[in-house]
Amino acid sequence: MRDEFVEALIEIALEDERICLLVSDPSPADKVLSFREACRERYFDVGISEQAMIGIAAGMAKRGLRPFAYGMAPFVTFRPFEMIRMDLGFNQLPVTVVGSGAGLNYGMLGSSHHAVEDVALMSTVPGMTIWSPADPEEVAMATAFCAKEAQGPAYIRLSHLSRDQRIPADAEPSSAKGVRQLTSGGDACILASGSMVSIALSAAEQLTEEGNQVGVYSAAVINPLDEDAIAELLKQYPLVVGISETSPSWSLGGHVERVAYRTRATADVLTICLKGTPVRTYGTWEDLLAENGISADTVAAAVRSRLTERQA
Amino acid sequence: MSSRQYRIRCDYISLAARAGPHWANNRNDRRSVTQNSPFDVAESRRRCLRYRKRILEISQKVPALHIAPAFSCIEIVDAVYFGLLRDEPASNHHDSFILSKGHGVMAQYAVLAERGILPQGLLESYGEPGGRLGGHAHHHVPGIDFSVGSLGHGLALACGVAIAERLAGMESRVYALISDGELQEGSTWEALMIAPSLGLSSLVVFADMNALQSVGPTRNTRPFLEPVGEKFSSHGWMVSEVNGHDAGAIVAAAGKDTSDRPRLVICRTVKGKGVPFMENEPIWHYRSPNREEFEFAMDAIGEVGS
Repeated sequence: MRDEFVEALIEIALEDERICLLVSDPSPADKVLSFREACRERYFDVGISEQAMIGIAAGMAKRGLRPFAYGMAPFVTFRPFEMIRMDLGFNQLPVTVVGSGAGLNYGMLGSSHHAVEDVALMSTVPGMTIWSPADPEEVAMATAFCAKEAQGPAYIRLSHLSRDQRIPADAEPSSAKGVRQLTSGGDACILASGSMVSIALSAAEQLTEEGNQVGVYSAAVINPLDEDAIAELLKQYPLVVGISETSPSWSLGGHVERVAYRTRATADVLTICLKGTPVRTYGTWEDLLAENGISADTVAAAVRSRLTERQA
Repeated sequence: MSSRQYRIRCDYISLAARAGPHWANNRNDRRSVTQNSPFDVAESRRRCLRYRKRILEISQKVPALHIAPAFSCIEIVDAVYFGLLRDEPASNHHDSFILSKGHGVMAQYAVLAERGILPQGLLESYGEPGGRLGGHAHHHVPGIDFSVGSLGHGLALACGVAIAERLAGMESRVYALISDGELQEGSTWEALMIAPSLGLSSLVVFADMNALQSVGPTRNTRPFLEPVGEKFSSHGWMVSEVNGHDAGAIVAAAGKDTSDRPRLVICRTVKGKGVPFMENEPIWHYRSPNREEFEFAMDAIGEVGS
């Protein structure tokens, strides 16, 4: 998904001279280097200095530029968090932090390279908008919004393992509001974000084949969440499932539970997220997800079980 | 100026012309120094005397405030606002000052009030409930660009401003004031290594080397911090060293041509400068004098200034 982000950013930057990109020693294989070719004067490699990268971006934004600070998700969130909190949050500056490989994407690189608490942390920053795009269309929407409209800081949480997304062609177009219907159903719906959308779609497909009508929704903007849209889902479906590739300290399902409690919804809520404990083993993204109990099959099984309980 | 720089600059100036609330906030009032008029050192001394007295007077209304850290950098801040800052976008000069050692903000408040940038009476509202002036620099205060307070933020912010000014084709200088305590923050070292790498020659950093941190002498905590100048120059900075209470020397050092590199001006200062019983005493980092101490301090400053 990072390739799609860079392509979207270059397209905007060629039209808008305020767009700048800061990076901290990217991989030579990273598509982000193509921004340097397209807009050399506005590409800044600050080296392995994530704290200063955020501060520099803040200084640039103060003088009217629209900087994007890009790097691996754990290193652009946890490492410079105080700069994000103060330089961006307290000063309310429109800098977009872009984290690639969020969640367990960098499975083989170990816990240091995983970012599962990033949303919990970033959502505490005043005025922070967090995007978790699921497909190239949502990536383009997120990039354009952050480049042109954001009034304060933003975080785009990229998963580069969402390339197999099978979003139906007739899905609702993405919007800056954030919750988008991908497929329709009647027995239950799954609200997912980012990389979890493909798992939600696969699970829903299995369930639909079995005769359970399960709709899928994508929440591209996860902070602030469109709680009105979630309240509508809770009215519309007897079961709402929230799935996110995050630790329990911030989960999409947890927010659905909160909205259900606040609105006194009668719908049942099922939360599926990571365990939140540091991963002690190595493996592919799919392996680590499975260790956390997340796959299309396990999600389908959990929803099936809950639907059976309700019918009993 | 390249066509790209020209376009950014046009955007920059048109943003200012739009005068929206965000831009108004972005482009703080600096009250440009008058070009071609020499910096009046004697007048600066008189102003610094007044600043110290005003800060002491304010101390009598609040339980605690940062007196000593302000007194160590008063001459530096005065030199910036009365000897260096230019705000003339039409002639490519839109200089900035970033106070990184946010706990020195009493000095900046006093200078901004003297400059007329802080509205009349605002300084006297320091520390009042619901007031806008407090113990660290805040961007909602007229004349202050960034909210700081946690150490080690300002140098990177200044680098960012310098980049933006350069992209806009401006010839602005960016001045930043850091403390020797901030040289213990890793983020400061990140930024100081980046500035020469990116050729930020418009950046001039004053280091308020008062050699005292919260608990005691800096040399006790960091016996190998010095020589600071050599450390900066080995990373690509031009380095000058001055008496940090000599505003004339500060203006002269900062005004030197920096060629293609950023400049560090090491300012040797005394924490609590001007009040003998406060000088080099850690307790005055954050404490208000009682009535007796206040009167003693006011008398001492009077003697110094006479």
